[in-house]
Amino acid sequence: MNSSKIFRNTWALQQLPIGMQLMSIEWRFLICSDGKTPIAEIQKRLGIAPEEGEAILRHLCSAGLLTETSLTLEDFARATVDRAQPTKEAQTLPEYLASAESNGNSRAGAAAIPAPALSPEKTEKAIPQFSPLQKPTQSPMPMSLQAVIQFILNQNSSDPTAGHFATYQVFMGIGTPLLKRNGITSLRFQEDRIITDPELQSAIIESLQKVLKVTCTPEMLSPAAAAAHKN
Amino acid sequence: MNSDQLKTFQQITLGYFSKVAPGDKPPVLQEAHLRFDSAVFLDYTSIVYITGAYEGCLYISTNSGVLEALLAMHQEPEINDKTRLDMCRELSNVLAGNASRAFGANWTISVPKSLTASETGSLPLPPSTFVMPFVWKDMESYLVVGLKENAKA
Repeated sequence: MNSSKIFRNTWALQQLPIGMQLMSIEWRFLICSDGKTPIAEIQKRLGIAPEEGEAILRHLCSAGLLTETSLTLEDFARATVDRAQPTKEAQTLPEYLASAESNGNSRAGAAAIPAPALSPEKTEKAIPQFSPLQKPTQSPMPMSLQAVIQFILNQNSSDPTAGHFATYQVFMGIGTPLLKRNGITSLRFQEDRIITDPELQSAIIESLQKVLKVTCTPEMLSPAAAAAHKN
Repeated sequence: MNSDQLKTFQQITLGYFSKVAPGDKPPVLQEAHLRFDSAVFLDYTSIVYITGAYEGCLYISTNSGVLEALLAMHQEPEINDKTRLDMCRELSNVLAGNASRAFGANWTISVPKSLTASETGSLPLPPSTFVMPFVWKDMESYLVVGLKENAKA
């Protein structure tokens, strides 16, 4: 995990589900994730090791509580002001940003500069061509909830109770805010719905592989897979 | 917790009703479902908290009619709030005993609690629950497992 990344809350604190429970350190991490402060700075402020910070971040992201923030060029440039070292030679803005970024990242223990996607080749282009990180526009393959259920039940085909309980274990590993954000407040085993939220799709596949210890591809959970099972 | 332990827990818990009323139709388990918003509760609830590889709770929630039928089976002449809660306490003890028997030494099981519907709102519960409805004497009750990852495990 790049410690210069920046995350923000996906829910206003007052909109979080009543009764939602997090560890104290997770609440503190969530509250500090204001869409401006890099992960490294939050870890430093809370006095936690990078590994612990990554684990918390993973949990909060999989629960649908945090999402990565894209930076504008202005935001990125402002974040370099306190860290850029003086130089003897004049620089273009991309050169300045690249040197400030590498300087910020090399400072031991210091918060890294929050870098937008400025690859070396991009920094050589004219500034107006820069654009902040965008979410992919390509829609992911739709996922069928019934295909997910059938996939789990098929792993325990001779024992429906085991299949039902395995389904519970898979869904228990997915943050309820993420499920509720997608309108899933309960689940009956005959139910079907199409899931298009890539975050929920990833969380389902991740939890499914963790609980069942099998490899699963999006194709196996597609509406076509659900239809094939019905037939 | 694995499905075999869960099945043992289901069987011995439902077995209690069969044992109390051997001449009656045994309780029939309905298809389970999952809940992610709020837990389901009826008039009276017997609950134990468990800690092991996961942490969470096990509970039975029933309506007054089920407790009254159990009281009748126990030859209890008085049916009122006090005796219903007494019956709920007995069910709580059965639940705790069954949990110990089914889940074994790797789990810590709390002292059971008996609650009326008005007291269940403040219960700390995991965000997702596995609900196993069952019907006994034409009345539906719920056997519920609520677990979450144990941060300390």
